Amino acid sequence: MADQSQRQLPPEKHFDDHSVIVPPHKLKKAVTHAQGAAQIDMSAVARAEAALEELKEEFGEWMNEECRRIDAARRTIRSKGLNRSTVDTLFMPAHDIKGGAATLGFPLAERLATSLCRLLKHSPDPARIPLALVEHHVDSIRALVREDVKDARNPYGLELSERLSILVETFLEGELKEAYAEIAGEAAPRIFIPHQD
Amino acid sequence: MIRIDFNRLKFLIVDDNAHMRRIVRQLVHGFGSREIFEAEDGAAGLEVFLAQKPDIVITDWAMPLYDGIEFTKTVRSSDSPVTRFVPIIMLSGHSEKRNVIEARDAGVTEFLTKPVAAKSLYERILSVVLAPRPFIRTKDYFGPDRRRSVNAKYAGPERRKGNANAEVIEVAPIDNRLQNQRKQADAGIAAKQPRAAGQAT
Repeated sequence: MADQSQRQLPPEKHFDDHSVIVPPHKLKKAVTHAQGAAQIDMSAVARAEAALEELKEEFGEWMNEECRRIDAARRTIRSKGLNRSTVDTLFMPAHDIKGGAATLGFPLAERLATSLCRLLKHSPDPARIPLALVEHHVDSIRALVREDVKDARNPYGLELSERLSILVETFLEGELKEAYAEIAGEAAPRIFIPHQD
Repeated sequence: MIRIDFNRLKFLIVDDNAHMRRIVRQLVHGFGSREIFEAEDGAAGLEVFLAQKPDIVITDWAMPLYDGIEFTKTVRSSDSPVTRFVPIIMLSGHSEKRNVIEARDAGVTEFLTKPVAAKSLYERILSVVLAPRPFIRTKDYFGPDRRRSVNAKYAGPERRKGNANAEVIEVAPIDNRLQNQRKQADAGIAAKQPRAAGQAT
């Protein structure tokens, strides 16, 4: 990557196995001090939250689009089978839902996407992933969005995500054997599901 | 009161998901920035990066073809002092500890796990603006100092070699109280995440 600016690099202080460079503090230009105690102005957070609130009407449709993406990837798996390529194709929309669903107001969809991502990412042999487990995850995510389930304590959504997560962890434990210990601690924590009479 | 004048900061947001780009843009715009550039993958991000020279980059990790890790490594390997020190905040759905370490070792300045919230993003921006870290060069790393605190008793294989000053790097903070806040925040992070085997240089 060439840059023609020809500006001088800041000096390096050399030690036996490393050097230390203190670059010029360019961003200092944006810091303003008002008088009084040196507290940090956090009012920008409230302004940003208000700005995000303005987008909320669009979030439902955005989640629908994410559901269409994950459904299309699932259809690819149905037609071409489970292999590294098709699993990677499904991983991207699943990962996007994992990262975005809670912000878009669907925390349980995020939880389902998290367990689907673990299944796709950590299964050593994609061909051995149970297709039904993939299907249940995708269908459950779509159902939660279709039914507009935004409450993180929704008992049906909780139970779905909990049971699918257990199935994923059981499958991974069987596939990875001793190596499962390396990823076990990264599984989503169990959620207490109140007993339904 | 210390304020950040976001009007004086240019941002680049790199994310393949248009919805996430819109969310991050809305947050940064809400903070007060008016110069916000976007790119939908690392390669496009690099083009915008070189053309616009943003002050801060917010990048996703998982993107097709050229991801956020590759983007970060390319930026850090530049010869230009204009670009190679730019703070990179990685905003990722990858939340596993090994991912955080990989991102750190690629040279990201701050790591933020999705879902994104205004407060956590603001805090990361505060961190890079108010308490910048020095850069370290070793035979296999160039990037922000990966040590958040000094452990004088550390005697592991990755202890820095040199005189006693090799372990201590002080950068003048904007305000000492900010440095204290930073240390408290880092102590909180350290309490939540057990230390990796072998403290990195």
